[in-house]
Parts: sequence; structure tokens; C-alpha cells
Amino acid sequence: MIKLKNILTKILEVICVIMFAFITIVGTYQIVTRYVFNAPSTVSEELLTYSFTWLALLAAALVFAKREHMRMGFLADKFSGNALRWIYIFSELLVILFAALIMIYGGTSITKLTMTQVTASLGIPMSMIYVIVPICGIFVILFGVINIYELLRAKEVKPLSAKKETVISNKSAVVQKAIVKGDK
Amino acid sequence: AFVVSGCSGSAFSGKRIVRISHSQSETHPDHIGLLAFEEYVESRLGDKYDIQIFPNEILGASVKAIELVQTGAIDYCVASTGNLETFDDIYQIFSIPYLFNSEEHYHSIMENDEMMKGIFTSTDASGFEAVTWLDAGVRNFYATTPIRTPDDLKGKKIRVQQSPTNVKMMEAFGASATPMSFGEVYTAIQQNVINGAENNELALTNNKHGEVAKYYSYNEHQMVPDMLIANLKFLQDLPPEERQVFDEAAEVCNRAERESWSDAVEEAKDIAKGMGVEFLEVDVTAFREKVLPLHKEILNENPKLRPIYDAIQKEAGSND
Amino acid sequence: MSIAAISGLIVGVVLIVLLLAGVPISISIGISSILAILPIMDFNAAVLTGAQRLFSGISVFTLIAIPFFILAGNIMNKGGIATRLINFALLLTGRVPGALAHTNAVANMMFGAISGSGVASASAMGSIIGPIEEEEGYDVEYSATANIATAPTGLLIPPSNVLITYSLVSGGTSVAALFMGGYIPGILWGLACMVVAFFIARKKGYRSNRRVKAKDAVKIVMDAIPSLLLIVIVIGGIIAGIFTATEGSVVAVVYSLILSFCYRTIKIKDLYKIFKDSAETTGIIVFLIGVSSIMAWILAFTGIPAAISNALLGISNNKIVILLIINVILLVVGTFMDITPAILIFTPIFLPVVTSDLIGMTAIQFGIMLVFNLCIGTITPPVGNILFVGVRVAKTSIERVIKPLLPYYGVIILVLLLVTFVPAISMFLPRLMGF
Ligand code: NA
Ligand code: NA
Repeated sequence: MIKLKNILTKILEVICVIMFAFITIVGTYQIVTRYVFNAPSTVSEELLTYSFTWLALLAAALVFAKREHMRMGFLADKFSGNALRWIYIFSELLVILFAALIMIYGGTSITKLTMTQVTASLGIPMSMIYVIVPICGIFVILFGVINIYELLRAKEVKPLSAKKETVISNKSAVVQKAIVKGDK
Repeated sequence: AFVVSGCSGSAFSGKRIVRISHSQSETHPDHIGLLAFEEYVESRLGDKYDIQIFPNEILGASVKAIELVQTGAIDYCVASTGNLETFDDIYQIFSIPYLFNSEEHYHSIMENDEMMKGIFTSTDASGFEAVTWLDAGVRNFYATTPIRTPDDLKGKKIRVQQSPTNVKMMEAFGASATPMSFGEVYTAIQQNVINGAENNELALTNNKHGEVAKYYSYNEHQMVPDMLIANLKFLQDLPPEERQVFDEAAEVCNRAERESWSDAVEEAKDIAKGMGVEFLEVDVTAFREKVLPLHKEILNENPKLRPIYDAIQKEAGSND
Repeated sequence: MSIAAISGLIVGVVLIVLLLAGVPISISIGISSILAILPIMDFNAAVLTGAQRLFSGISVFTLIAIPFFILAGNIMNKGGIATRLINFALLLTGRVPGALAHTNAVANMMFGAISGSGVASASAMGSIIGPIEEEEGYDVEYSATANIATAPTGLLIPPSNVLITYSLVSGGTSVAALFMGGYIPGILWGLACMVVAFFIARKKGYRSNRRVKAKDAVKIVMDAIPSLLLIVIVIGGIIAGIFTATEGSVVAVVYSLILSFCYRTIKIKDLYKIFKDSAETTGIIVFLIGVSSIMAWILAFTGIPAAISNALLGISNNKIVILLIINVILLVVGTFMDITPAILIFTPIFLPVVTSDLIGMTAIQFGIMLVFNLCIGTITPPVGNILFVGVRVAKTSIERVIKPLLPYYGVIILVLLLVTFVPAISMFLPRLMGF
């Protein structure tokens, strides 16, 4: 299970990095064609918008694996022991419910519905674009199931906010180091 | 228990709420036509139906609103033929530039039920059909710089409706086509993302595009109706006598909208002149020649347009 | 009961329960919205609409500015930009009492302006200036509070992702106009805090003995120019209409990349992590925006905003009372909730109220007022990202900074009242630019 999660996260990570680099290049290309060559590109705006949407949804799925989506933990995280375990499992169940209803069921329906529609600039079937919604839904559900498995198996469940705080302080440590270095 | 309830609104007030979405403001002829629709239905079936009109793309823009009518989330919406083209390409007929040679020609075709029936019901397989058409006037160019000849379009980024044929047409004119949602046009012109757009005169005032684009050229490239479309299941589930009321309401909507249209255009021109918009009469022939090759190309690509295209051209001949 | 009342009740109650249970905010919003629509809509249509809104709420050209500004911010956090700005701020603040605290404030305003992140600002500035202040004999709580109180200014001073988010949910309010609108309120916030820092420093006798030699001053200015130029190019370009916010964000990425490569603070191999971190932050924020557009649709569909608007206008027909009520609600919300979700939830509800004939506020001014309110929440307990980070980098505790923060809260609230009741504070610059 843990291994599967690591593999899936790594795959998503790499895809996200590639897509982010891709939209950065397309974005730069669009500006260059518009200002330098004065020949605006019609295709790049649509390409950019849909690639960005794919990136955002895939990255969102990735963050579900890490359980780092924005939440309000000030009350829930006060609990400990088994109460905290079940609160977190409940939360994961709702994540799975949302992914199943909206992303997979609804996403599959909209993908089917738009089979005959085409996008305006690229002229590809709209369903090819919408299909990312159910795909991400599958990832989210897999991560949800693995997270529940981990929560059930863990000897002690730690509050998520504690985890988040270490993340922030790690980040600021990085910042500090970089600045000292940049000062030379 | 949540899952099985079907009929909108019945759980609460007993009245079936009928939701109609359009993308225009509350002063636009489309809205005025729909108000007449609402009035007509509610004065006859007011105890059973509550018609609610959602203007300004509140429930979704262009293609997204059509998708919602497909699913029954919305019952009716006003759809541009450009957007409908992505559902059934018979609607491509209206995208053919200079299809009609005068407004009279255009109106006489639209009023011809025989000819329109095939188009109105073309999207039945997608779960919706057109119930009437709304006049959307004549489409012309407007931009931040004057467009007097097709040459003035060279290198310009012009917004088009999100449809492949419109993109092609704009490229045939020599401009760079930028498909985007109508609501984004104002800021896009203001921020120089695009240099202009093409639409009827109302866009200058209702959508304030005249504040940012000061030259409106009467090149008359398209006369395109908007369609009032409805969810097919909704229509089919209506008892015959109620269906008749809704059908008549659609006719009432058409008449009210068209009456208000001609007044609205005159008023829009006056206001736009006050904003400093200049209206340019241009040589239409020069523009027509640029895109005439598209007729053959479109007909070859989409042979099912041929019969209706020929019928329209024949009608034009008899008008002359 | 009307549909609006029943659906509104379902959304409200379920949302609050799920939020308190610590369920991710996006999921809380999604589940409560779907529950509210199911009783009045066919199941298939409801979930399909949900999927469509999720997707189309994200696939918006303007939103692409968000990942790019996040990316630019992450690149700059690694680059040597913060230090250069601090040295520059040190020049400006001279030898007034509490000079280092003022340096911190000015640097926060500039760095926040560039990186668009209050948290990054609080953490970068606090960890560099904090130790120097300690050396000079400032007490830790004094330094920490000055840092914490001024870090949110970067969310008001452009570029600001939260203002871009607001631009979208408010129905396309011009990003350039909002950016212009944020300047004066953001700077007033910073200045008000500097006044407080000044008086406390004078009382405590904090003076700086640093003298900058003319030769060094020139070098410091030259060093800071490339970083400052970024503000001029990106924000100037957006405001002047030379490019869109999205294009401006791309320029920011390219520029900061080049700058960081020149400073040799970033190597090619660092890019993977920078892109990955930026993608994750993007995923969090943009997914939330997508899910919120499901809720916004369902609110409009069931007529909830109109109902709330009528109810609020029914409480009182006094403009001042209504605006005060809205401010209090937003302050309370901001105390518990992050800025982005709060903007997504409350814009569709309050915008129709404040733009009604009775109150007559512009969408621009409301956006600034909304963000201002929610920014205050980032530095208050129980939930406040900037407060947490500021406290941590200063190695102190929330309990010890709350009392010294009180005078800052006081002056910030004063500025909030000005922003609420004096339209010119938010509107002067946008009007000047012709918005
Ligand atoms: Na900023
Ligand atoms: Na707070």
C-alpha cells in the first residue's frame, strides 16, 4: 500500500513538474509571439488554459495524497487517540465520496456528453479535455483508500496541524539558508 | 431520499420552477422577449409554473449553459448558433459569411417553418431542441483603429465566437482569430489583448465595448439569429395543452424580442455616438470577396449544408 | 419555506459542521453544495453540473496568473532578493527610534509586493532582521510583533493572488484596477504600524547606531535596483495595459529566474523542487476555486445571495450599520479561515449587498475592503498563518506576542474603517487610471 502510494505520488509529481514547465514555456512563447513578432497565436491561449486546468487538477490530486489541502484544524486537531483517528477517517471518506460523485460519476457523464463537441481553436473533442476530471477522481480515491489504511494501521495518529507546522518551519529554514548564502 | 426526487421545486412550493438562462443584460431585447415568455406562461399556467430568468451568464457562459440544458439542470437558454455548431454542424450554415444578401432575405428564411424544422430539431439526439429564434441583427467589425478595407484587418487580433468556422472566417479576412467568451471582451480590448471584435451595435452600449473600441464598420459579414433552446425531455413530458402554451410563449417571445430589437439598435447607435464611436460605411464587396471562397470550402467539408444552402440561395434569387 | 431558505440552510449547516470537523475546505464546500442541490435537481444532472463547474471554474485564462506568481515567489524566496531589499530599506529608515523595525516594515511592504506572499515575507524578513534586532538590544517580542503586523501588506500591495481570485469571483472586476486599488490601503496599513513601532521604540529607548557610508549606499541602491525593477515592469505593465495579469505573471517568472541565475542562488537542479512546490500550492488554491464555483453556481441557482442580501438590507436601511455588520462578519470569518476560501465563499453573498443602490460601493472598493478584513485574520489567533510563522522565526510564543500586538490591531482596525467609509482610499488610483 505504502509503496503503491509512493509510486503514484512520484508519477503525479513528475507529470506536474513537466506540465508546469510546459505552461511556462507556452506562456513565454505567447508573449514572445505577441510582442516580438507581433503575430499573436490563436492556439496558445486555449492550449495554455486547458494545460493549466490539467495541471491544477493533477496537482490537487497529488496534495490529497499528502493530506495537505487547506483545512481548519483548530478544533478537530485538539482530539487525540482513537477519536482523532476516526475524525481523520471520516474526512477521508468524504474526500472519497466527493471524488466518486463529482469527479468520477459526474466527470464521466460530462466526458460522454461532450464526445461530439469540439474545442474552438484546437478543434479536438471536448471530451478529451474533460477526461482529466474522472482520471483525477481515480487518483483521489486511491489516495483516500490508502490514507484510511494508514490511519487504521498507525499506532498513534498525530494531529495534521503539527505536520503542517514542521513543513512551514522547514521552508523558512531553507529561506534563511539561501539568504545567508546570497549575502556573500 | 435525496437521490430519487426529480421534479425541480415541487418539494417546496408545489410550483415547477422553469429556469431560463441567457448571457445578456436586463435591458437587452433577449431579456425583454423572455419577460414576454414568462408573462404569457404565468398568466395561463401560473398556478403550476414559476418562470425564472437568469441574465448575465449567472448560470454559465455560452457552451457551458447549453451543456446544462442538455442535462436538464436548466430548462431553457438562449444559445448562439456558433456555440450550437459544436453540438450539430447543421448550425454551421449561419456561420457562412454573406449567406443572406439582405435583412429581408434573412427574415424571410427564418420565418419559413418548413426550412427551419430540420435545423430546430437537429440537436434532438443531444437532448435539446430550438423552440424559436431571436434576432441578433447584423454582425460588423469594431476595433480600436478604423477598419475600412480588409487590409486594415491584417495582423489584428479580433475576438470571434468560440466556433471553428468563425475562426476560419476571421483568418480568411486576414485577421488573427481569438476565440473567447463574450464577457471577457471588454477587458481584453482595454488591455490590448485583442484589437477588436465583431458583433451587432448593441455590444457597444449594453456591454460598453464602445468605451474601448471607437470604430464600427458596416461590413455586414453575418446575419445570425440566436436560438432559444429547451431541454427535450422537459418539452416532451408536458401534457399537450401545456405544451401548446409553452410553444405559443416561444412565438410571443420571438415577436417581442424582434420588435424591441429594431428600437434597441437605433437607441444603441445614438448612445454610442455620444461615447465617441464613429460609424463607418465601407465597401461591402471588398470584404465579401475575401471570404467568398469559404462558401465552397464549407459546403465541401459539410455536405449536409448543401440542400439548405441551395434553398436559401434560391430564395435570394426570387427576392431580387 | 422557499428553496433559497432550505438550500441555504443545508449549505450553511453542513459546511460549518464539516469545516469544524477538520475536513478539507474544498471537500466541505463540495459536499455541502451537492447536498443542497440534490433535493431540487435530478441526481445525474446535479453531479454532472458539479463536474462541469469544477472544470470550467478552473479553465479560466486569468487564473493562470496564480501559478505563475506562486512560481515567481518561490524562485525569489530562494534568490537573494530579500537581503537586497532589506539593505535598501535600511537606507530609507535611517536612524529614527526603532529603525530596524521600520526597516522590517518597509522590507515587508516591498518583498510582499514582489512575492505576493505574506507568509514568505514574514518568514524571510523575521529570520534575517530578527537576529540583528536582538544584537541591537531590541526585545524579541517587539521585533516579532513589528514583523507580524506588517507582513500582510504584501497581500494588498500588488501583485496579489488573492486579488486575482477576487477579480474572478466578482464577475471579472479588472485585475489592473484592483491592483491599483490595493496600493494606498496596503501602504496605509504599513505606515500605521510604523507609527506604533515608533512610539514603542521611543518609550523603550531603541536607537540605531548604524551609519551607512556613502560608498556603501550607492552599492546598496545599485544592488536593489534589479529587484525593484521587477515591480516596475510587472505591475507597471499590467496597470498600463501593456499586458494582462497572466502575461505579467509570466514576465515575473522569467525575470526572477534570470535574476536568480545571475545571483547564482538557483541552480538548474533546484528547479524540480521549485516547480513541484509551486504545483502543489497551485493545486491547493485552484482546486478550491474550482469547487467554490460549484457552490457559487448552486447559490445563484437557488437564489441564496439575493435572499441574504434582502435579509441584510431588511435588518437596517442605514448604510453605516450594514457595512459595520459586514466588517464584523468578515473579521470573525478571517479569524478562523484562510483568505482564499473566505473570498470564494463570501464574495457572491456580500457583493450584491454592497453594490446595491443603498450602499453604492464599487466592486473594486469592496474587493479591497474584503481582502483587508481577511488579512487581519492572518495575524490573529486561533488561525493565522502569518502570526504562526512570525512567532516561529522569532522563537517566541503566541501568548507572549498577543499583548504587544494589541496596539497594532487597534491602528489596523482604524485603517479598515477608513477603507470602508472613505471610497477614495481604494478608488483614487484606479480612477486616476481611468477605471
Ligand atoms: Na503583493
Ligand atoms: Na486568525
